[in-house]
Amino acid sequence: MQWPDINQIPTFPNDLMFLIFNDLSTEERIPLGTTCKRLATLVKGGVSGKNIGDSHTENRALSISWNFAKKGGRVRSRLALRADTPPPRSVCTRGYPQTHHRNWSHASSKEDPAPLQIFRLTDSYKYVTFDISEHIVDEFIRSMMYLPSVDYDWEGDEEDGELCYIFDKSSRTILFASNNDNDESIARVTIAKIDERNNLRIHNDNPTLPNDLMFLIFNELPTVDRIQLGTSCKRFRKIDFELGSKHFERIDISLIDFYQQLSVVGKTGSMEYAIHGNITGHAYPSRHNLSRFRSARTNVLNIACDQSTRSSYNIRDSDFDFIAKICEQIRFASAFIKTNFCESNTIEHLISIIKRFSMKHTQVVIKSSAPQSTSFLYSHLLKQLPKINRFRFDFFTISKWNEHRGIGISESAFHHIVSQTNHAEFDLVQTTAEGIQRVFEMVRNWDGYKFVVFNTDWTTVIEFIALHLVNGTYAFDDTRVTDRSTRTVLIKSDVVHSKFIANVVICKVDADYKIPPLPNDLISIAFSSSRSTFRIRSADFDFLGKLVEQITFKSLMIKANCCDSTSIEQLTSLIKSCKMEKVSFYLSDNENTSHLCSHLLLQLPKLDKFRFQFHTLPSGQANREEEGISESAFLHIVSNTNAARLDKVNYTADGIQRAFEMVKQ
Amino acid sequence: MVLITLVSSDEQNFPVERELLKQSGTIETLIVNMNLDDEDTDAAAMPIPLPNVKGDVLEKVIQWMEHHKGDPVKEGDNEDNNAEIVVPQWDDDFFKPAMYGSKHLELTVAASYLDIKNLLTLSCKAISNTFKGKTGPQIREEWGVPNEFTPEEEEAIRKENEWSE
Repeated sequence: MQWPDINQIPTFPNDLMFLIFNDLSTEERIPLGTTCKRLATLVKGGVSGKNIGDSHTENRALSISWNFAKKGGRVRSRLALRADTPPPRSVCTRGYPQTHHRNWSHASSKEDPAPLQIFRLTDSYKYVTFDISEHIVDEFIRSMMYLPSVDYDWEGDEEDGELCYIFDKSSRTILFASNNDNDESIARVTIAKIDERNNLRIHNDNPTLPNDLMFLIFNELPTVDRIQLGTSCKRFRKIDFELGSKHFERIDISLIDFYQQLSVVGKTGSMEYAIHGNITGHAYPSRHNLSRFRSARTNVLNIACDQSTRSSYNIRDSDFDFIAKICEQIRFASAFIKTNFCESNTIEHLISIIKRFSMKHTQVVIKSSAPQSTSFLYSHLLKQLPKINRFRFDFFTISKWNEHRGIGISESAFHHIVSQTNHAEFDLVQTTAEGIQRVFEMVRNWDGYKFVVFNTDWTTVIEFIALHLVNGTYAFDDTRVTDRSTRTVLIKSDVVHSKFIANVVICKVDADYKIPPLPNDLISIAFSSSRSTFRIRSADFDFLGKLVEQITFKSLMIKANCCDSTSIEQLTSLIKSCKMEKVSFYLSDNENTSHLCSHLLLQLPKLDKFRFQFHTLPSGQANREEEGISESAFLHIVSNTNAARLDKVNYTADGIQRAFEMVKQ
Repeated sequence: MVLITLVSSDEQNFPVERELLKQSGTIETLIVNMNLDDEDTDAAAMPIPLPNVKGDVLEKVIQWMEHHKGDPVKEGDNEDNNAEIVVPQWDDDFFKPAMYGSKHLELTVAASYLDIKNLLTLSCKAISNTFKGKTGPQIREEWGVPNEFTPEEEEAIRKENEWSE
């Protein structure tokens, strides 16, 4: 049996001691105050006149001794009832304290003897130590020692002091008593629970581990376990907040004014850790809210900022400030920002958020669904970006490419991004031949990996090529300008459906003059058509197929606004020649051609992730009821992918059942 | 074999092989400062007092160091590396008898004081493992932590953490 150190009494928390003292009369508190300095200090506190039970009997003292463990409530009232029950036996022949052989009221019920109720102190406190009149303890022990569920023993002698314990096996509670060194009439009693490993659960050692060690321990735990640990006591809760550093698979921040919604949601496994609020003020940057995401780490940070033109509500500065403060604390691998902001003040706010990112080794993708005419505002945003490993900027609207003059990211923003990133992708850039030359030089003079892809005015690219053709600086063929000394290339290709735009890739190639595999790459193919004179050519797709074949990539994203049968056939053959893990389609057409898309989906190989979105453009006459992927295509996708997200499916109950079975298996 | 004597807070002497003590940053610094590695110095006559470590805890620490003799000593504090560490079976068995008890915690504090990084990492890992998959009340129950929250506070915390239940 492990005996607790009697000197641990000073570690018993003051607030509990106050509770105990509060239930004692002044008279009773004075002797306690003489036991040690700490208790003496406590005695100087308020005086309670509470007197429980019959003041002329020893039962009174017993009542008090029980009550000081827990003020009021069931314990006290039950004890009062037991006090009058007749004594069953007297006298203990040996053992502590041996001096008072009085009768003691025994249980009125065999299952729940009255003295056992003293053990209920441990229902409130795991560990209780107090000084009490010796003869009360004596009576108590004698009444307990013969109960079948109780073990009893003692050690020591009258000279060296005696120590005895009783152990109630049913409640696994131990009471031990020893002589007080200063006053023989006072005994020191400790009651504690013992766990199944026979360790006394009186130690509060864990909370006394220094904070730096507790930080180490917290750091070892996954987020879910840390939160549980944080609920066990106030100190752990504080440590959990102070340490932060929770790890999430993904954190979604959304600021959507139409719904007046502001939320920060951390996702780990199937669980969500969220601050939900609305713009009228429920989510605010309190210390508590900010602490919840302090030093959080996440694989993906999604930020969606949506300002509806239909809403009269303006997003407040404080909401942006809140998001900025949250973002400042988060470390992420990839950030995806979707926005439709098209006013300078909201873009300024977005800049304030992005500038606080810690993203030296990260990837940032910004997708704007604002009109491309706002590209000058976004150019300003891009110029504020710090160093990033990989960057991509997209305007989600793609139907205006034929009217590209005057839109697109500015040359200065383009140069800034290229100089700050190892991998940059742009939708449309306004640049000059000199501007392209500067980017080419940046890539050429860069020691490591640098990859730039952008769309720009076709004539500008021709001008750049002509420049080198005349100078003879670099090797040249139909589509490439190559600097053989550094193996830097510029590859020009036509953009399907836009004769005014050229797609340009500038990078370093390997010894075989092939584009090296792009780490975690995303290939984005965009088709845009006015459906007028220009028809899609097989040669365009052949070229595209050959280009794509050279590149190793994981994700393929296709955006198109024409889904006629020829385009779909060509697209199908292109996809079949690719090896990738993830495919995303964002298709639209004036007519409902989703049946053609279903044909395309049926050709898809095995994929890890798949996303499909189709919508009929507002000008179209399609029957929206019929819009949607066919059931066979749906089942093909479900059976060939691990994660599928489809916009609309024409399904039957049987189809759903089959999909359910597939997922189940 | 050079032996160096460590003296615990309760005045117990522990002669320990010099090689073993390389695992402890604190003792290594003391040995260097006291020139105990010099051939002219009588290391046996110069015991190293460790006033913050009790005898029984120091005994456990030495037992651990003996088992891990020759292990590479961890340099610096790299939290990310810790995430991949699994407590080996021997260490798990070593910590187990003291688990949930003050001994384990004293051992952790001693590892921190003596700057034995591997022991500290494993010990913290073993403690954190005991918290895994447990709810707040279960942790309180196992570690004898008193419930300090008022019912109102408990309700507020429960709402806050509904997502993790």
